[in-house]
Amino acid sequence: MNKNQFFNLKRFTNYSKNLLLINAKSMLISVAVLFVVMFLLQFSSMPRGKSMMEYPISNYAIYFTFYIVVLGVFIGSGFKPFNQKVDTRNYLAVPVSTFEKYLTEFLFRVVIGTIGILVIYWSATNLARYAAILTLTNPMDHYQQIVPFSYKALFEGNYTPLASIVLSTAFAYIALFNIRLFFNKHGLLKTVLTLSILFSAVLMILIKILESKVEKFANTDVVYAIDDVYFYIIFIVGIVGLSIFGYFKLKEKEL
Amino acid sequence: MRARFHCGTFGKNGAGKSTLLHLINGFIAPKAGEISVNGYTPMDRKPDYLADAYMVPEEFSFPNVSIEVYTSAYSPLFPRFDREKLDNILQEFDLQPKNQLNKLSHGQRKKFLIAFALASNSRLLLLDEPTNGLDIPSKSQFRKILVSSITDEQLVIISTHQVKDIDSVIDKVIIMDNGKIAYDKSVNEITETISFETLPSLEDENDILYSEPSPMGYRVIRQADSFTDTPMDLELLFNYITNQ
Repeated sequence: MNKNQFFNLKRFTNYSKNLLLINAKSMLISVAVLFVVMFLLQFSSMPRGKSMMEYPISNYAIYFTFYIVVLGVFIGSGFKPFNQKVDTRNYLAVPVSTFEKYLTEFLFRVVIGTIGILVIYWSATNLARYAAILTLTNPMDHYQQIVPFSYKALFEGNYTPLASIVLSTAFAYIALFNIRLFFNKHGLLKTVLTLSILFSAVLMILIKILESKVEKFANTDVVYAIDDVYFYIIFIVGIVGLSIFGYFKLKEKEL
Repeated sequence: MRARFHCGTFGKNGAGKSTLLHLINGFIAPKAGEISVNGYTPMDRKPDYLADAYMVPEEFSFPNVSIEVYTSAYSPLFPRFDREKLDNILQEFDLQPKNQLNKLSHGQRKKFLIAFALASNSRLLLLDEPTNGLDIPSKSQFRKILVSSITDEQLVIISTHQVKDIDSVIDKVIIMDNGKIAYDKSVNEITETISFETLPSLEDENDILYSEPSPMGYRVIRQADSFTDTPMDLELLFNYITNQ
């Protein structure tokens, strides 16, 4: 056996197939449940029958936020075997490298999870829209009364740049994904608590710093002078750093 | 330790038997010193090592799938896996591929795990209390299958309290006490140096190393002479070593 001990495509493929075979049923059920829940939520919020109420794009935002939280829970629930000692032993004994385990979980939870949630939300929402339109009996243009949902429309006209939203959300997800590795039982709960404490502490420090700067340069736009680029760099470095921490934490995991 | 050994590891509760297996399998890091197995450091958990060191733990869990699905999912990760061997062992254990793992009894699931471990053809098999949960016929089946399945390349380390369950299948005895190896000898060495006998009384017996009352009088351990070859009594040996 001379296979690369860090990454081997065949081994990685076998492991991915293993996860699909083992989890196929629960994944399909989760997708179906998410789809049905979103369809029902969205459908029940839309005008039906004689209702003349308009349904603008902003109405979708609240449900989309709910799905963003669901995705966060899904990502933060990664590395599930660490919840139980017996499962931890099974997981650590699987003959693939730590990098392959990390990468598979990352692809499954973060990449496929994000794409999956976006697709489920888009399809459930648009299906709910068509279903609601079919019930409308007022003389309005029903296709305009309930505006079609698209991600482009959702973010258009938003004051915050899209890059900032994407990067900060990605940072939050990567933090959930990796900090979970510092815990065993109740990983998601402990991660959320830790992140809340860390976030509050960082926010308080930033506010203190900004307050002192504003006082010092009372007539200048110091707050706005901090270029977005710095925030992007901080988020990107944070994402890479957290991923490296997570990988090494996984490597050092013990029973 | 070298291959083709069936090594029995014994000890009281908390003696460190399971910890030793966990150390060998790379589940925990040693607090001091280093461990090397076939040139690997277990805690590195390299895929080749993990595929070559299979542990059957005392407590285990399975996903909600059938034997067939489990085998299809996990066997490709073990390069030496022998599907035919698995099918034969499953047949002997009276298990069907379509059986749902989590609907089987504890003993049946253990039998499947043992079958999978043997079919993995890993060169190091670590069995922690393998006979716990097995009924009497299954215990004897287990011994038979273990002996017939192991190749000359494999080493089996069995950790157990149930000394009588495995005394006929081991050829090396390790007794652990307080996290340390208190005794480490091959069965040949043991039977050459000491003998296990039953005596009606201990009167006029001067060379007794250890004795225990038994329904027939006393079970004793004494220095072996070159004329007698007695079968090993693991339980007596264990009590002798741990009471020293």
